[in-house]
Amino acid sequence: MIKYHHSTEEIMEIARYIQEAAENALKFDTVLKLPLRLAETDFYLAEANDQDILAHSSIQHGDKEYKIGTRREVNA
Amino acid sequence: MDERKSFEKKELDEDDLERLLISLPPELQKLWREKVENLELEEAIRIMEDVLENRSRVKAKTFTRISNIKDPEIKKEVTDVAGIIENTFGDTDYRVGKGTVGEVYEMPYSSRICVKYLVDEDQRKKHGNTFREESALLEEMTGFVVESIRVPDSYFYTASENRVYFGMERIHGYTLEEMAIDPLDPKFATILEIVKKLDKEEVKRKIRAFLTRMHKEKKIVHRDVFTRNFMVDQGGNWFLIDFGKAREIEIGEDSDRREASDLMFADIAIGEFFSKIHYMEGVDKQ
Repeated sequence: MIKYHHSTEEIMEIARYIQEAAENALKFDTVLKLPLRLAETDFYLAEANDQDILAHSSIQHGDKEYKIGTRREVNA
Repeated sequence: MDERKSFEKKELDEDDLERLLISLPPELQKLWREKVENLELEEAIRIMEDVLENRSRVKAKTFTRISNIKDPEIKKEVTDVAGIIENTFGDTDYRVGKGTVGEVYEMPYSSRICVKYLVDEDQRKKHGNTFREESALLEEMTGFVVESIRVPDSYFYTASENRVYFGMERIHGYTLEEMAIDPLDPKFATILEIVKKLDKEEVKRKIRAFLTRMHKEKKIVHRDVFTRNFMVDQGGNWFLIDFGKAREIEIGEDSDRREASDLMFADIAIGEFFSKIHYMEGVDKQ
């Protein structure tokens, strides 16, 4: 249960090596198989509607926005 | 032309420099004030503008301001995740560690992620590193493995109006300090069964190798190498944790003493740990 309403002005800074792995995947892979594990961590690049991945951040590529997040283990 | 230059010069005053300095976080303000205080005003302002521009470039690359997320589903998820992180603090069901500076909690949505929350700013100042600096050092160390020893992966840093915290890999294990206090506690049995088969001198050698390469290749000294900052997971993997006192070795700095100190305290920590676990079992192998 969320007791605290999180302000939308707050920031989430994803580790740069994860962010760069996502940028590189989007830049160089013409056919992306998503969700894609990033930098051998438990963070993934995924489609916006992928319910298995829980977004911690997003990345824009062209007109499309992807989520960067971790596998959802329970409903959150 | 000359008139214009002269006019521009007149426009620059101490207020301009102050305005630039106060745009920085407090810890950086002090540093940059000292660096520019003896420079000509124009030069000081030029340097500060460069610093701020570089910072904004870096921020633009790594920060997600939640309100800027366009996709409504993603925005809702990130907002919810941030709320869960905020609210998990204080829930003892999820607390996995407690130190003088911060507390660590597993995240309810993933057993693979934990978050370290700042709880005592005064203690943190004594340690030296801000949480951003600590998470940045962890990030620098991510992927660095020597003799199968590594640090937890760094995932994110976040700040709200209430507190600052950073997310990292959750290590399913215990610190050497925890296990040494009560090695007969059944929750340590699996790990201690693995650890007790290890040769103490070989463990020391591996840790020395890890630290030495960390010093030479990553240019980082840990400065807090005690039993509380080594963890072993259920698979017998070793981790060095807590970079709250660590710092980067600056170019030209003579860090020999600090590096030697890391190695010496590692030897002592491992020696103490093995002595205690064997003593408690009455099987002191020394």
